[in-house]
Amino acid sequence: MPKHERRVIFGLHVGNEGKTLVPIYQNYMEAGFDPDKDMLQANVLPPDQYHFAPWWMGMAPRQWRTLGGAGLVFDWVLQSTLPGLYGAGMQLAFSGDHATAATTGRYAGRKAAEYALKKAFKPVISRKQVDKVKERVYAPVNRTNGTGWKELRAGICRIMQDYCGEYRTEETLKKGIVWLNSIRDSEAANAYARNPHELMRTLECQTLITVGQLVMNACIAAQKADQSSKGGLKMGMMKKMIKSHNRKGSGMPPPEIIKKFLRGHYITVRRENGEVKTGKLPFKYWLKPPYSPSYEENYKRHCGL
Amino acid sequence: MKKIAHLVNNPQMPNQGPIIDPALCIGCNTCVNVCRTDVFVPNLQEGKPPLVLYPDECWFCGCCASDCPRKAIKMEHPLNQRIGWKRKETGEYFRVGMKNPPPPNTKSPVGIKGIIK
Repeated sequence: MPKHERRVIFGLHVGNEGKTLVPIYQNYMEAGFDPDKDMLQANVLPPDQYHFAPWWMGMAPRQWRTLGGAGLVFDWVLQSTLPGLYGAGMQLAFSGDHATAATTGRYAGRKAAEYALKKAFKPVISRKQVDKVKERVYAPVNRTNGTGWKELRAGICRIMQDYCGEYRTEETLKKGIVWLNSIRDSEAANAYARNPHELMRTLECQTLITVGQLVMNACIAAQKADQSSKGGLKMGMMKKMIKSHNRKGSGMPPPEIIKKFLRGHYITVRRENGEVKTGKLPFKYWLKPPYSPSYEENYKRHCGL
Repeated sequence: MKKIAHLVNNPQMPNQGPIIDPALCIGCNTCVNVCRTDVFVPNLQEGKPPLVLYPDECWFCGCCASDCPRKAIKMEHPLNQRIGWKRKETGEYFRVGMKNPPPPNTKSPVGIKGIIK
């Protein structure tokens, strides 16, 4: 596009029309945008959205957190891949009802206590660490303006939707991590809470940023582990194939898909010395060594009866 | 320090839309008159900032911010609608609202003078 045309579009159109003068023209110029040097990002839409005319009126992707999905992978004593970290209830992968919450809560508590006793370490409270956490947790209470929790959460959800949605590549995932880091440094560091409820929501958003990064790192690792997926459409493709198969009337995913899924594995993510470490666990790892091959034997071995 | 918890309604939308700086506002009610979606109502106390009573109906058109004689209104898109840009030469990535933004662009646009403060 010729230079003068670019300037006309931004200066004359965006800079003169109502609805764009202040929120786009003025705010973006003040933030340092230069139409001669920069390319403004086009909005991110899944390819099927472009089928609608006009596409910008199409239904926007869901931009709000919903329940479900992954969580802590755990062993027969509900310990995660991080030694000493036990999980219960909805923190755990594949769980989500009250019965699971009640039983796993009891069990994880018992097993965590056993672990602590067995390790026989002397608990040391680091005053410095406590103060640091307190400062971080209560910081939003000391502000009266800035970013509200709802704005923060909508922003995080948008990033997850755009860069870690149904269609994703290593490039989009890495861009998503850059965005989440940027939100953590800017808007999340500037969040306010007017009461305990808002404080709880704000802190939840901080956690969502971490969880979002975990998910994105896991996706990158999953794509690297399965190069045959050609750019990471694996889960989306699988869902589509199941959907199209269901349309034919069987109601069940086709056997080759089930087989492929059973050959799959879980990706684990953790941070060690500031670096993201990923690992792999086979499907049904809980019935593979070092555990016993049957559910019954495992129950007997670990339940402590 | 004693903290006071404020009872507030659940926010209806991600951010506030127009935000009035009470230190700059002279209560002239220009924004009340120009707003095309009737988001503001005048303050019962004369000379005080208007109330942003219906923020969820705001279109983010910015009429209020552009017509305010004291530039007392801030209008920003909420975080979930902010986008970024790439500098073609260097490949750097910037966005509205980032922590360390580049210096503002003060170049005069086509046909407009005095928009950038």
